[in-house]
Amino acid sequence: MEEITKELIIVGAGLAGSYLGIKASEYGFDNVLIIEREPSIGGILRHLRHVNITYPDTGEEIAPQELLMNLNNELQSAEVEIWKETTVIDLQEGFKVICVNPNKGVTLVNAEKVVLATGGKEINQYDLRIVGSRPAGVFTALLAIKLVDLFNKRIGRDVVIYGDNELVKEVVTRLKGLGSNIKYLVTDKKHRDIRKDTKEFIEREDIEIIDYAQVIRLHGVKRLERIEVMKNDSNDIEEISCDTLIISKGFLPDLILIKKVGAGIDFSKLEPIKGENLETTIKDLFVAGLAAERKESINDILKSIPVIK
Amino acid sequence: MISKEVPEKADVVIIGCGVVGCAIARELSRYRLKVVAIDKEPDVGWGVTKGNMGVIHPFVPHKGKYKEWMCLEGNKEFEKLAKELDIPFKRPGLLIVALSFVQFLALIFAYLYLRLVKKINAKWIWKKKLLEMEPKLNRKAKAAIYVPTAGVTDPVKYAIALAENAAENGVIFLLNTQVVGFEIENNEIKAVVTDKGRIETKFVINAAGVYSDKIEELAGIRKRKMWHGKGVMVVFDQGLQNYYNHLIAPMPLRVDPRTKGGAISISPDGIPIWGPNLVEAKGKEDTEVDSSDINMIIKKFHELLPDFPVNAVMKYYAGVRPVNEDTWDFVLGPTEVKGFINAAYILSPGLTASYIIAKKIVEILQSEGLELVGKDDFKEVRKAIKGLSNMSIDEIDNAIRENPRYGKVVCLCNNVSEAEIREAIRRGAKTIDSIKFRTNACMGRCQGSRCLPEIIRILSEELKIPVDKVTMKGAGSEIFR
Repeated sequence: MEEITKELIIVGAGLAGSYLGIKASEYGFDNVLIIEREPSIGGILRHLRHVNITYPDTGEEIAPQELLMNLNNELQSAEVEIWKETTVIDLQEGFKVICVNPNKGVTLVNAEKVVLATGGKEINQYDLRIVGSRPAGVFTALLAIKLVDLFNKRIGRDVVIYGDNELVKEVVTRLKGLGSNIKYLVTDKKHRDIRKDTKEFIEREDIEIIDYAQVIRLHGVKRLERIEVMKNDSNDIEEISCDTLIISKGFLPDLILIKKVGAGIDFSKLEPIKGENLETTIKDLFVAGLAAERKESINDILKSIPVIK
Repeated sequence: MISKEVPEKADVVIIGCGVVGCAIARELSRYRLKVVAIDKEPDVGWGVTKGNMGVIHPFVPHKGKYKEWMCLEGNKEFEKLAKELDIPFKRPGLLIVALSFVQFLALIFAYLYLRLVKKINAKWIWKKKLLEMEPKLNRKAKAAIYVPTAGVTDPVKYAIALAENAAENGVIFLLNTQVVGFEIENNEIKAVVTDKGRIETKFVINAAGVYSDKIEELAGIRKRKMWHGKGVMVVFDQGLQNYYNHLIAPMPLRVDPRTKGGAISISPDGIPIWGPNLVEAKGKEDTEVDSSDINMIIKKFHELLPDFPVNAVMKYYAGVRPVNEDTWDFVLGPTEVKGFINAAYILSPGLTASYIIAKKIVEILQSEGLELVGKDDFKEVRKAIKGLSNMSIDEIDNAIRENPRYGKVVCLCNNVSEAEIREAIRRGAKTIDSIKFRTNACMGRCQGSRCLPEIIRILSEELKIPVDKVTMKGAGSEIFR
């Protein structure tokens, strides 16, 4: 087992981790290591085709694949060290970062400062207290996107989408391309409060919106057969038959390493306890991007970047 | 573990591969017998077992013939079982807590009753000590009864371990196989008929859980009335691991003869699980959860741990227990059809009692004329899948050097590597749920939203089937359609 020492470790080379890696070299760190579990950087960016991201330094909107290319180039020119296909399996105060890689085995990295940019977990049916049965056919949006990108297979015939964040665009385009029928988009917002870009897109795609309503119950033993949707104003319940439900309501922070290292968690929000600069309750441990706080919109990821000095 | 061929003959056919059926299979595999175990599901432990919370009960006062003593005896088996079968098991102990004065009075009586009448090794714990043992407990707590023998396990992993060990010792498992009838001559079992073929046998064990009434019916045995009791469990966020350390229950003021009333429990690795409640199920497959169930469970137990963040729910699920309405006890033993032996209507504490039930059934088989000759080569030890979460850093380093797939983490919530998932498939997992139960992948806070694509890819590769054929839990639950 190899043991090395670094000044700053960034866990995760997604949008937040990559951006922070570039910033860190600007701040003057020359001994930075980003640890990424996938074979390439970018995280969620790798799965976006239609959602533009606002770049904080310029305020410009950039197409996702272009942003991914820029991040790759800048990381390279800043000579930031990135270990790919490497997963952090434990984090101990001090800091000791324990990671595994198929070719290198276990490496113990000692670090002065650590930023957790491990992303989020998608808000799912349990977070939303959708009750009833537990059939196949219920997917979170990014999962649905990944399944289609990876296997190019249809994940369902009659689909209802719940939520209205940007991923809806990515989901609808892919699913329609494979011949799914998108029956409805259900959102708990009132029609006027639905994100403008989503609303325009959904109307263009001729998908009916059920606004100010919640999906409350699933039916079906093996595969989803129908869902119950409750209108928020009247409490009227409508049953919709569908074999697929896609939940597109954003992300909660990944708390796995936060828990392992023993940093504080605010369970009422399911977020790490953090200060203004996204410092956790442990000195020199920071959180960034989706790992920092609950986010509905991907465009907010770069709003949570700590300044590390 | 799984066989495709339906054998023509067997000495014993076990119907139902839950903890009871698998324990009987394992116990019978000590002897020179041809044993076949059948289940309609694609994997073992998917009926009543899957819906069990995993508590190894310290005692269950009951007037019936079996439940009480089998629970006490069964509880004692678990150190040995855990050692031989390498299953997760712990004894956190149970605290029965009095918050109110009335509960306090009831607690005194309960304590005396348990100590003097039931001879249970229960300890009286005063407030000060109690709050040391469980610091986040409501400070209104007056006292508690502590029963150190209460334990927790993972019921499905236990069933899998029993089945793997039984299979290694020669038991044939026929999964995805449904019993459709029996051949009975002169009131004696001659054969079991399944949708995959017929098996000649003299002995049938009915361990079919919620379907044990249907199996009795198929053999023409007088019908007992089955009541289906549904219980919901609420599992909390992984971040709350080790928030408390014991099983905790409020001192009940009204004793319901039907249920122990559930508890604040933990999984063997310390994840909070609360429940179960008891409501009437609409049928055998009614594992639907209602908001009222979740609210009922939270309301009942929250007062014990008032600072516990009850909003941090990770998932919820339900199980259905088969209840013999006349006795609320197990139905064990021979029936009017010779060779048809019941290990049926096994409700709580069936998990705790499972191994004692198995031993009892073997005794009954012997007294019914089955000849038992011990095997010299019985292997009593079964090893769990080696995983990142149960190895030291050095062991992980070595494991990766031997098999680089240990260095690829698929499930980030529970640190499950690709090597473990492939091993689970080699040991018989054919569905995503089977992998979940064997490895804990998809069982963490993201509920599989990050690792599902990778698991589908590996399943398709290992089973040599197209990804369209990969299912969540058997035919009809395909991911792609």
